[in-house]
Amino acid sequence: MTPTLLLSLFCGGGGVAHAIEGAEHSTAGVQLSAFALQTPARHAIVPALGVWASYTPRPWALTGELTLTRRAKTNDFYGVSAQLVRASALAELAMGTRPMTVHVGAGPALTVSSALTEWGETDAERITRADLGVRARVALDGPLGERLAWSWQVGVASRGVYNWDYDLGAGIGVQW
Amino acid sequence: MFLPLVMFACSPDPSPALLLAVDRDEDGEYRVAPRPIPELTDAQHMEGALGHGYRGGRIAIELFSADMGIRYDEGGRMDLDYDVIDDVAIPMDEDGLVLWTYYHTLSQVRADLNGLGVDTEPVWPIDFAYQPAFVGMDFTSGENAAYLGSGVHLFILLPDALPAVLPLAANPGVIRHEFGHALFNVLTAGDAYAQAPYDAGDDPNVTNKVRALNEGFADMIATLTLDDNDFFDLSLPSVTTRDVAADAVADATMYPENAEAYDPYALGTVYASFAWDLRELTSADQAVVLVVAAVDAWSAEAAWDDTDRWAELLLELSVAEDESLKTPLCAAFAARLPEHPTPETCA
Repeated sequence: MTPTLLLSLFCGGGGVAHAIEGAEHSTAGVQLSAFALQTPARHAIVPALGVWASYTPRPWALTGELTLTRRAKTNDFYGVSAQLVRASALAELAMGTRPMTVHVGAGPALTVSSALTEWGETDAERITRADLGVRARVALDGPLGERLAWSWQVGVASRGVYNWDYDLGAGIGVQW
Repeated sequence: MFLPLVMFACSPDPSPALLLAVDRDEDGEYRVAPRPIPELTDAQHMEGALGHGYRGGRIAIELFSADMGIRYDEGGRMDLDYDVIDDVAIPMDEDGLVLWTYYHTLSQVRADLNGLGVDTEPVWPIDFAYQPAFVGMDFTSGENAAYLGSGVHLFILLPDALPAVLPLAANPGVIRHEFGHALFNVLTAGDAYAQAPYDAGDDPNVTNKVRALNEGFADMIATLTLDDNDFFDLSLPSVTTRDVAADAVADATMYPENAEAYDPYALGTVYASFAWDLRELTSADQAVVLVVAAVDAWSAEAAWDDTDRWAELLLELSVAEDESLKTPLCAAFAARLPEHPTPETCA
């Protein structure tokens, strides 16, 4: 049973979804997300900006993502500002109709974190580290007119084994 | 297929020689500086001889139990991000600075008091919950650090409401204050995990009166061990009522019998200010030893309903140690507690 058929059954099989298995298209765009970033104490909610590109030869898709977040805390005694950049490549199943394609996929992710800790009059240290992990997401995308495309996704990604971040985002881009 | 995975980032040294922490320097200024924390054997997971830390978890009040007990459901193991550069552990986020300051402060107050002959060992270890969730309790109005006594024996450290100032959980005075509550519990209940006798009775006025002395004692531990009369200024600059060098004076409305919504801090600040008067006449070290001895003596009398008796005992013990203190300390007593009958020592 193909993924497309699965979705058709889910939609009631009444012809709402018209499978166009075998067709291919590509999208790329910019995405704004809310990140639930795991810290030593909790998940901190921070905004994130990202770009994505998908190549979708149904029922498969390949997606690449690059995402940036930043958070900072400063007071009279210290300042800590941290940036996180994550690159991921996902192998996905692409299901549904052209007006709305569902992507379900997973793949490796590389996260580079860099934190600048400042204290005293002049003391400061920057620490940068890289963590490999996994990335998984469920996404929807579709055309917005002739050339534009929209996307929406929820995802999870790990930094190493123990740190897991979650994200929810929406984006706009181009299709061809 | 996507199973992990190599971590480029190796685990940092769990026992670095020095860690960044907020501390009060010899010049009286608070600043971030590298500090040793010998009891902290695992800086990444915040585990050591003074207690273990947990992230999150849940604190619940058991509304339907006979004693409305408080329970902590442990959260996960702490996992701090840091690196060690030139033997100094540098955190990659604020949590590391807050937690190392917390642990360093406990380490220091332990060394300070044990060095003065005040036995703090029955207090340790105290575990702590970092930013737990609350069920059935309202802590939103006072985001803070706190000590949960009466059988729980746990510190809780909460996020701060004011982002531009030093978090209360990273304020050395606040942590010493909370430690003061733990020490008070041990001195009066006899055991860190025992329920205090004044909490077991039916009279809320007794409980509230002891709360006032408990808050005052916690302020005494903080102000005298730091030798700083107003440690709150670092985190809550708008709060000026806790300065123990100011003119706090007891009046009838500060006692729970005469108050509708009781504020234990007002009377507590009067007691702490009297202890600061003693410090002005002697030294911070001598004063802290005497205030602990006075709580010990007051507890032995089980005078739970008469917290002013603690002030009389402090007066007695101080004058017994140094007769020259009698006149100035009696004057201070009369000024701080003007409605209280003249103590026998001053008669």
